[in-house]
Amino acid sequence: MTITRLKNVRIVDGIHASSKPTDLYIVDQKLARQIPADARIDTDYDLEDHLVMSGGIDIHTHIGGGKVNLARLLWPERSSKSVGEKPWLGPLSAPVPGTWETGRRYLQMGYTTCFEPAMLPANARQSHMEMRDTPWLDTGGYVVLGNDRMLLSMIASRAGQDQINDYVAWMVASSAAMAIKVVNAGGIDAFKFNQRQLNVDEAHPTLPVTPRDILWSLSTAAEELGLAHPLHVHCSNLGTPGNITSTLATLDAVEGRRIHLTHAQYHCYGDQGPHGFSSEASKLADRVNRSNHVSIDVGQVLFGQTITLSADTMHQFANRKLASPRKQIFQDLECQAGCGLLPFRYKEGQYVHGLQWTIGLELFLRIQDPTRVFLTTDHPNGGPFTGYPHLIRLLMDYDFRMSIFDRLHPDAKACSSLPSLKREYRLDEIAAITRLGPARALGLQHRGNLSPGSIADVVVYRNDNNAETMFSSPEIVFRKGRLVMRRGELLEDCSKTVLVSEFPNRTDALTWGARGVNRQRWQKLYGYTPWLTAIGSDEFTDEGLGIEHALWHG
Amino acid sequence: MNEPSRQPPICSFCSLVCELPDELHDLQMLPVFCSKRDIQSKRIAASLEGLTTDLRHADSEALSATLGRAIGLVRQAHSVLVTGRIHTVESARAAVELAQRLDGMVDPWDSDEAFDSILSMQRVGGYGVSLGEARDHSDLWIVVGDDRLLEQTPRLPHAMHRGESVPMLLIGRWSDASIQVWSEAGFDVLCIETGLEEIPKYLSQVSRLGSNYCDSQTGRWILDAKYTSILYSPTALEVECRDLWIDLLSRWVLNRNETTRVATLAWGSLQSTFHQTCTWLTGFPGRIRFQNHQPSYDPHRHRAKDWCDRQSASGTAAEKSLIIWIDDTLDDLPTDFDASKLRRVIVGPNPPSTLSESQLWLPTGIAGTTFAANMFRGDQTILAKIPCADPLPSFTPSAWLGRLTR
Repeated sequence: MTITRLKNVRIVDGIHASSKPTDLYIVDQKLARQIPADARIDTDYDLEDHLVMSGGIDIHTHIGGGKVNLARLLWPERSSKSVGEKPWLGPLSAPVPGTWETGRRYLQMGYTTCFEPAMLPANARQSHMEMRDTPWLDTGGYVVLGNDRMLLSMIASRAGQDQINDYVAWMVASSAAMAIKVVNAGGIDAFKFNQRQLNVDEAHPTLPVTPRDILWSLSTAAEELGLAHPLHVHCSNLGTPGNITSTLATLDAVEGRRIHLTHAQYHCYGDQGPHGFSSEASKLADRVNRSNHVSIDVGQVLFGQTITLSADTMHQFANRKLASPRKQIFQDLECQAGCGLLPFRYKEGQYVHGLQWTIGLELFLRIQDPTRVFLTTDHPNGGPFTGYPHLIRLLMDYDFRMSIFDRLHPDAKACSSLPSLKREYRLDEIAAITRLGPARALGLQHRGNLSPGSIADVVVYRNDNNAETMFSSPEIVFRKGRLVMRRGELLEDCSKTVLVSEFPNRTDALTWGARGVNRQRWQKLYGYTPWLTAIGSDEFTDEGLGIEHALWHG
Repeated sequence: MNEPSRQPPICSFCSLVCELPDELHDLQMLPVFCSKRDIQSKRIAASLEGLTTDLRHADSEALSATLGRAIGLVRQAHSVLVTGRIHTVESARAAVELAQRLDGMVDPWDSDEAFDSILSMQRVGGYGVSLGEARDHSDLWIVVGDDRLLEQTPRLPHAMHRGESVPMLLIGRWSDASIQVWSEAGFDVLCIETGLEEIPKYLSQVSRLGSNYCDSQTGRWILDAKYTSILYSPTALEVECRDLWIDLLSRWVLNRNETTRVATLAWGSLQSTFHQTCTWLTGFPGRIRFQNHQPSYDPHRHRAKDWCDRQSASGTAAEKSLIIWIDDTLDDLPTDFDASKLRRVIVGPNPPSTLSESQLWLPTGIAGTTFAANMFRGDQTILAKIPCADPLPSFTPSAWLGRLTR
């Protein structure tokens, strides 16, 4: 037994409210508040004037898979500032860096668990391989369904929900996924048939199925299968003025079942104002405040160069002329989904970009329960994840927020309600939006908090009035009880874990012959058996990775 | 997850990495024939017994001594190139990690065709489609290239066909035998003998001028198609300025999608696995040199063959240079590589023609035969696991590369 003591620290995890300094123990890989009186302490850290949080959890960050790798390929240019003996101290080398850099930069902010939100079933093995090669992080992924022709034809032929559940269980299990993600339900497939828009109650061009049908079927499957995380939804009409209507219709479509709206900032736009583009953040926030079954991540826009990437080819293609620089990649993929990538620069002085920035902040500030709104930039879509400390400062410091607001386009300032939102996030609320809330939404009972028995992913920050400084440079970071970073210096990593969902209600669906997978149809559609793309758990254990099962705890 | 006992074997000999299931013929289940698999299987059969016997009963002392000498070469080297025919994720990872540790350069030997495609994508982008999508959805195929595509990937026509007749325009230099292969696979084939340089221009004119320009069957097919897939392989594309040709085609495809649906299926070689893996690890697809363990990408300067030429041309540099050649194939060493006089360590199943203090060999097996590995299908969408029932895990490229810097 190895014991580490963190003396005189202030614990901030959104659960334990004490502001008094206390001692926290790491016993092997777990946390403890007390140890036996005769126990020997192996390592002692006196951390007066420090606070401690659990390791950060990014619930939605594009870090692995085909489109992520295309984004790397599309951007060979490198920041000159990142070259030198310690390039990790400068800006990211590219909006979507390689896995080595990604893992290092997350750890250097105190993040230890990340989720790739859009694994194509056919491409899930690549996503996991990339995440396996991302050091310092435990990882998981959500499998993209809802544009797969197998499912659409099942829904269109009014297959029973049991059959759909079996199919979904197979897809989640064979992709080693944590959850189901739906991206522009039915819209990606509709675009393959040259349809350019698909509203929630509009039928697919070739099948009698609407996005509402898909959302209902998938949210029901997630609930009936007992998946840890609810249906993770990228709504219809991404980035389109007036899309608040379809976003609220999406919430209606699941009829009270748990739902997570992702990068919600891009989905609460009105079509009013001087340029036909306005904020409807208050409408979405009101709805979230009234609906305990709804959580969101924000997808905050941060100014600067990035690459937008999404499975939503329909809307990415519609925006293709906004690419900066002018190059873009799109793909239609395997009767399951697609992807679109555009380099993009968010500019402070641009009306729409400025308003997007305010809309994201409005969501953070208007939603009252910080365990149901999560801090993301939808990396890299709103901006690279390395902007998180800056974003935290925006939330904690009204004057700082306004100093940037002042630089926006005058029309954006004129129609924004941001100045009236005086709320400043407290540290425990920051812990909630970056740790506790995501962990709860993902069914990760032993992550995201500092309770006894939790996994000892621990980050120690030195108190600093400037939150950006504090959150960009933790003093020390432990992963699973092992010291892995000290003042920016990386030490030896510990073992990595893949997070997958438990199937409390459908264990039999994992065996070959699952009723929901029509093998003949599959073979005809894809030209190979389902086993070609299915991931066996031995693929993780052979690589020395652990597997952790997540379970919804209500 | 328990796999079924009848899981078809996955073949690792071409970029289709297909399962080769049995097919029903005259009420008899017969194994699917594939010329590439047949040839490779015979080569393996000829060498497998010896190879596995050699590996299982390898003289560990002799191997340790060779490894020791190889480590010595690595330590003496001032400049290292990691290259070869790298076809698995595992070999690619090991190659990139080794180059990083040694502050060396890494680039597969024959990467020119792949880089024409990559450079075009980095300049223009494109609209692509995966094999499964194109197979299910296309109402017109345009296949550009020559016989080499079928030699490299013999079962591709079968994998593209969904069981109903679909129009196909074959453009390029196709022999009668190849045209017959496409027809027998079930496509309704029209062959156009034209210079490939003209294709992007021709497609632009058809789409711009519409039926007024062309009332031929070809033009009608192109204009009437609701989803066109354009297949080509950079390694079977005989055009000057291949990268610019791809630029033009990609621009046409992107613009055409403003009104209808068109996509390209750029079929990569087995080496795409290296480019994918290198990209996710470092952010770059290859042709990188590490300095202070950080990658620096230069697709024009950091080319393996150019590095060899530069080092060979400089007497003192040549003495301090080392090539680490990683081979995931049974093929002989390429003649242009074999001609190089630089010191080298060969990590692969085939020994070089001569062994000496400056040319060492660390023996390995073959993916799917003596070790399990992961390889990308040519459309780079599916990453298939190539299983191995009776592995010899010590004799993999990645295992040897790990030992070289231990």
